[in-house]
Amino acid sequence: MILPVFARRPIVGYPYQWWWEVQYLERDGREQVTTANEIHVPVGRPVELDVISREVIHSFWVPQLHGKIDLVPGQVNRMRLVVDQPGTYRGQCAEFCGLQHAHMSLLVIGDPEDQFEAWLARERARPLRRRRPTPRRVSRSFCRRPASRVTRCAGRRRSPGWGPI
Amino acid sequence: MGDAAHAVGWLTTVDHKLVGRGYLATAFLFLVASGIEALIVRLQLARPEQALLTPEACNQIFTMHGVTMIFWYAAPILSGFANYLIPLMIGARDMAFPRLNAFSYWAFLLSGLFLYGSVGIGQAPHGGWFAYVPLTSAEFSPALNMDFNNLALLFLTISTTAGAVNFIVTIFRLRAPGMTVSRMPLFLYSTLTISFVIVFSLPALTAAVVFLELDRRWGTRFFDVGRGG
Repeated sequence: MILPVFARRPIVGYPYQWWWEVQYLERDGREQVTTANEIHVPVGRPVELDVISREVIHSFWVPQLHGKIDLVPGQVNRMRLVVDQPGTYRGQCAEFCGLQHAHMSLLVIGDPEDQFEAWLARERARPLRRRRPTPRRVSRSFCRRPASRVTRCAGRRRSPGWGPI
Repeated sequence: MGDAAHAVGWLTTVDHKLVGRGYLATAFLFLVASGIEALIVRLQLARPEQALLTPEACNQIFTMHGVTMIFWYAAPILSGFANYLIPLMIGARDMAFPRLNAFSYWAFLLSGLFLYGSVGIGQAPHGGWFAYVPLTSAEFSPALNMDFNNLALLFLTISTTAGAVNFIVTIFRLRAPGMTVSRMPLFLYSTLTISFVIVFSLPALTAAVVFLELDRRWGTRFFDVGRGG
């Protein structure tokens, strides 16, 4: 995320079939916070989003905020986003990517500056989950909702292949 | 009736009118098939979260709709009208290459039947009509679906390109004496333009489907960005 005057902290987005991994990076590129299917941004500040795909082509699209930007394997695309009003904005994958493309959505949540900083601090402090996801636990959290609902996941470190479902 | 009087006559005809009518009839059938596919997609999307189609079936149906509509209806229907009308409008006996003409039609029909054969085994193309690569590569589409797409399109693009060459040569070389290019009917101008467009663009598509098929089944790296594709 770019703070226009000082510290630059890019947000990097990686899509997978069929969810979005979002990483907030430190200035030196180290990973700070990782979320799935949701992006928190401070209201009024331009935010820079670097996106790249690790497998098939997707497209990041939050209609209320911006046009589409494609996520292509092997190429980092950069987009600048500004959220003017606090609120929750729904986004959608806009490039056909397989079986669950229709359900690959995400949320962009605009928080006032102080709430955003509080959220970031909370996420940074969140400990690594120790409970292993059993099938029943997973199915309880994911199968109760309609498939098009985004599901919130958060953690401090990402392991390869980790994610909802 | 001429050739059309007997079945063998119709199968081996090179007469531009019969070939033209064959194009129109066959393209119309593909239009109906593609239209039915569109209706099924519309039914699935009429209300949120319907379960009329599985995700795989939906992907196959909308892909087939797109591919059929563009390649097996829109281009051939133009070829059909062109085949029928060009020799009549310029006062020629037939097209410049009558047997190539017949070949174009049969390649079109048979490639379409091959494509719809994939529906019979439940593995119709499912990568969208644009078939972008990482999704349609062997890694993400390991089954036969996209192979049907590639091979059917291979023969269809050859058919359409051959037809376009035929039209260009016919319009330039077989006009009646006294019919200069500035005096010919407007339909011939549009057909000539489309034919040039086809000749410049479709061979690239032929190459692309060959590349994709080689990548998928023979391990080449045409579309592998990491290795310079």
